[in-house]
Amino acid sequence: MENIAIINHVGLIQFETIGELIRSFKQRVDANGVHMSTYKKVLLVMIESLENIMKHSAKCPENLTKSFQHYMPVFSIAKRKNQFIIVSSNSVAKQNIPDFRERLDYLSHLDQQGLKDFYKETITNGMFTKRGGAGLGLIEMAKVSGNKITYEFTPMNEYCDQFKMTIIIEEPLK
Amino acid sequence: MLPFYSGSTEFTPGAEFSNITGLFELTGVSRPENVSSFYNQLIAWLRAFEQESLRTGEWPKQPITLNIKLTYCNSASSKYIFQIMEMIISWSKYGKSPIIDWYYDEGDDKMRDDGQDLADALDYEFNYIPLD
Repeated sequence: MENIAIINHVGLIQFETIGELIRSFKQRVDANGVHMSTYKKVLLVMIESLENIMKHSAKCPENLTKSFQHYMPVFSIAKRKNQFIIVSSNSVAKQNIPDFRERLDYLSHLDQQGLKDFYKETITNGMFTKRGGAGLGLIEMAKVSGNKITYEFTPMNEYCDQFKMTIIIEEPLK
Repeated sequence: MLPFYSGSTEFTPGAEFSNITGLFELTGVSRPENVSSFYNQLIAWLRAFEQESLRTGEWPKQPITLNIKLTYCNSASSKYIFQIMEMIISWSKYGKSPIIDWYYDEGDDKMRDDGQDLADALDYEFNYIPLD
């Protein structure tokens, strides 16, 4: 069975872009009668992913001299059977990758209770980043997914890697 | 001291905080473009309310009540809502234990879970109220 594309965006993500993509998502998904709980989970992963791209995409010095399109953020939502597949991709500075990878690896080993405990620890200790995030977004995405977050880093140049993250939300079978 | 009022937008919650009734309410969607700017003004108002109440010795006659009626809340907003709750819960030391009412759309398990996670983190009991 093929994936049905719901959102397919290539290009810079700004605050206004997120609003436009949310409106587009709502127009396309409301009509399909998705269960509210699933709909809200997909919306959460969508918004947190897009906000992460907006806040954390690296400005790689070679962006403008090589294939610009190649380095553009990518965001997509597709549906396959009862699964929503949400994929985001953006450039990240190599210097930030070790900490980022460590956090992702840590999350991937936690079960639902572990994620709840880590959420509590993170929000209670106020471990917030300078850019306004607390790492809470990743924890919340892992919580609602129920599936492991899959991710990969692909070298782009000497400064940056391309980070690609895939999250699957399953709609309960009717 | 004046009540705090801010109308809702597509991405900013409506906020109505009354120093007279002690009813504080957030409604709508919370993913402001500048989340710290939006929530810091609420936190500043609450600090001023606390100081004014302590100075005059006059608190609202009704229990302090925080109504959360959000349909969506991003993670950046969650940390500020946590701080707001932490602050008003701390007023229990003045004998002003607040009521926290957490509203969610019927069937929206995610939003209800968000409330339970915050309640767990604060070790405080919320009321969960489904909306039709």
